[in-house]
Amino acid sequence: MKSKMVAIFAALMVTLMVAGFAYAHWSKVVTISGTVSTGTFELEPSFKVTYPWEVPECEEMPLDDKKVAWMHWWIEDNTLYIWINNTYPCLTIGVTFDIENTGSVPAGLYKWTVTVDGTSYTIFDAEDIPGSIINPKMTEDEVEAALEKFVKGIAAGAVTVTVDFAGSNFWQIDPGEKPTVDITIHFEEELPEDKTYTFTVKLEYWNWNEVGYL
Amino acid sequence: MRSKKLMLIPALVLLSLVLIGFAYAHWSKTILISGEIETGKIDAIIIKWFCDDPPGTIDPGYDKDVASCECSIDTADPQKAYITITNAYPCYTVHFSLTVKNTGTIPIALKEVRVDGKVIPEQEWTPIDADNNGVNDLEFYMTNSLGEQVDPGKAVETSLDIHVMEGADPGATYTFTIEFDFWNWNEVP
Repeated sequence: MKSKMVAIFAALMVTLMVAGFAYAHWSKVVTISGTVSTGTFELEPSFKVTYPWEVPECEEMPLDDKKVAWMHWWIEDNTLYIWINNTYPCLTIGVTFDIENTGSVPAGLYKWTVTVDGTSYTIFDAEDIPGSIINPKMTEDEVEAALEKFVKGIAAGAVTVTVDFAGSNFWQIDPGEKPTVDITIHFEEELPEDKTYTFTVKLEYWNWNEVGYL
Repeated sequence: MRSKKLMLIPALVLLSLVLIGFAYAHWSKTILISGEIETGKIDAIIIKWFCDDPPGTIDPGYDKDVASCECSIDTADPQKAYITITNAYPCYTVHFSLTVKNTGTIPIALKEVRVDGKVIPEQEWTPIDADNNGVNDLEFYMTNSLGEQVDPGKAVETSLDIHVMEGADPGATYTFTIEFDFWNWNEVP
């Protein structure tokens, strides 16, 4: 009789232990609540005509006293549109172009292409630095000279430019920075008559840490 | 003869009483076992929680201070902690260290780590779509801690990396919850 009771008690305990093992475990969870706020990536171009005089945005204005050549420019989204009409040899235009990093993450130049009358040229490609016309290891003078040579080459003597970065670093633009370039465009004697040139300059910037060379 | 009969009567009475007594009552002894089982308790608190890119320092792997992260432990409930990463960008990676102390009476071991309910395997980048837009934004990597036994009074350190993926949008805010689930050690393989 006594041994039966002990057996029943033992069986009950074992059953409870097994049931406890099968249906529950003890646990404690420590929790971390996280918030990740990403930065902003914004670049804003701006443009100014400095010679012969200022041409306000969205206003069509002459570039000489006789009102022969005219210019009109505006910026829409991130695109600068420039229209110059009735140009002639010896006309000179001075412009200033800058890009301001209005975001919170540094920007690095990834690709710079120029398309003239449907033909594309790569000025710089972070994926093909040896094949680029300019590269980050060049001095500022070397970059300016390479760009001037490039324009001379594709314009076939019709247009020459002088480029002055004035110490600005276009390769990497940190938040709040605004690198500037001064460009003087001179139409040469070889400029063909009654001809229209169309060109597109495209500057592609990435977050600086992914361009690979900065 | 008469005296023999007289002697038999008390004997019969006694026998009857014995038999009646046996039928209606018996002597007994009950053995009681009075038990008390005091179970242990599983408890753990976060005692250290920091990252390698606090505000004002250069971002890990880069040469600029762009993003930053801040870690804090809930003073009212040290089983909770917080991370805030600000101004993050694609490819930003930050390393975290979490130290959890066993404040219970039973050894514990880390059973699993979950981010928004998704289990993070050890030493494997696991992407998370934190804003449920179909594109992964963040990924998590956990190092060296699953199954490690932590005795009462002892602590265990766990490492965690968070990487901002290409799918993260600029100017966005992502929130997530990381759970470190500790079990009684004997049930963690």
